[in-house]
Amino acid sequence: MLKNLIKHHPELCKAAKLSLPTFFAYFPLGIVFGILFVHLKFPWYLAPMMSAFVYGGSVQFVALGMMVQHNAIYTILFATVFVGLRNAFYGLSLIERYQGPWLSKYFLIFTLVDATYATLAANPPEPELNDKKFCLYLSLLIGLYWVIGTLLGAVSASWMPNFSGLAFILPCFFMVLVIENYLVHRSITPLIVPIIFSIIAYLILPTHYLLLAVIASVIFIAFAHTSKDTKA
Amino acid sequence: MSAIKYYLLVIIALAIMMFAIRLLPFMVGGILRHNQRIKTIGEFLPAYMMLLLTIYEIHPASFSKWPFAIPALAGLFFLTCIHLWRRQVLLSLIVGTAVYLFMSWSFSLI
Repeated sequence: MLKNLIKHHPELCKAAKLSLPTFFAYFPLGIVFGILFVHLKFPWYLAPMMSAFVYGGSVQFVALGMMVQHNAIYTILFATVFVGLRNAFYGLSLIERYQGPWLSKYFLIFTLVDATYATLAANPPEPELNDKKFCLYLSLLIGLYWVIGTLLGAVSASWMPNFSGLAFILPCFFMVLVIENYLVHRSITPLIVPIIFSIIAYLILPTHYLLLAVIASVIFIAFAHTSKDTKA
Repeated sequence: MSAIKYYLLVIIALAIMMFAIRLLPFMVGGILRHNQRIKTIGEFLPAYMMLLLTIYEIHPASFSKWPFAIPALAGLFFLTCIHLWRRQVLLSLIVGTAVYLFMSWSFSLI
């Protein structure tokens, strides 16, 4: 049966294999979110719902703290929009790749999170595989890890042990992609500039420093890399 | 407004916000699809984003108080060494996370 699966659904197998690191990060993190959600006395069934429809880890954690205090909805939106806004730049790398029938296109756009972006950027389309199928499977699997993790955490909040340390697999995963990117392109700039921008941004605006560092990087790329392109 | 209704409204509002954020580059980028600068940003941003996210996930605030992010830095250091040596993603992830967990565990004992 497994042989059949590999033979007939190579895109699903590739997506499952490449999403394995993300599974070990998003699944325990989802459990942590579910546990926290129930411990704050919210009804358990709202936790997987929030994970499925909002689908943004950092936004959900920030919003949770504000929902406890019954903050006004516009206050919550204003606080979380800066946390989520880094997602607004991911699509720029995927405009061509995500073209297609509107349903699959909007599903892919809606499920575009950090780990999906990272995995897709590190794995460009292969000619022998249907890339649209691969993107869909990958996005679906990563979404399921997060939602099912949340559900599991929410229903078992009273006895589930603390998994939060496992979330460190996430920076490990991103770091592997940093190294791989260096081994392929041998460019030292992406290893230095993000560190400098993060430090400066953190000193200016600690609460939303990431967004500031992302915007600074986008501006830097737009101006620093064009001269190289015209030469090439 | 009942509590449940309030929670549901928050979830719906956040869901719409996140979708709008994710849709934004496709709206802007769709119009400027052949703009060279947009293409350049799309091509080079992932490399920068990976390191920004690595730093973000180890929480810069942890650098300013004991144990000064030592477990995270040690984990990433060993991960880098093992990855440059063997270049096996899962092995690197296991080593990095194991070093981090062990260091965090030993520091909390002190």
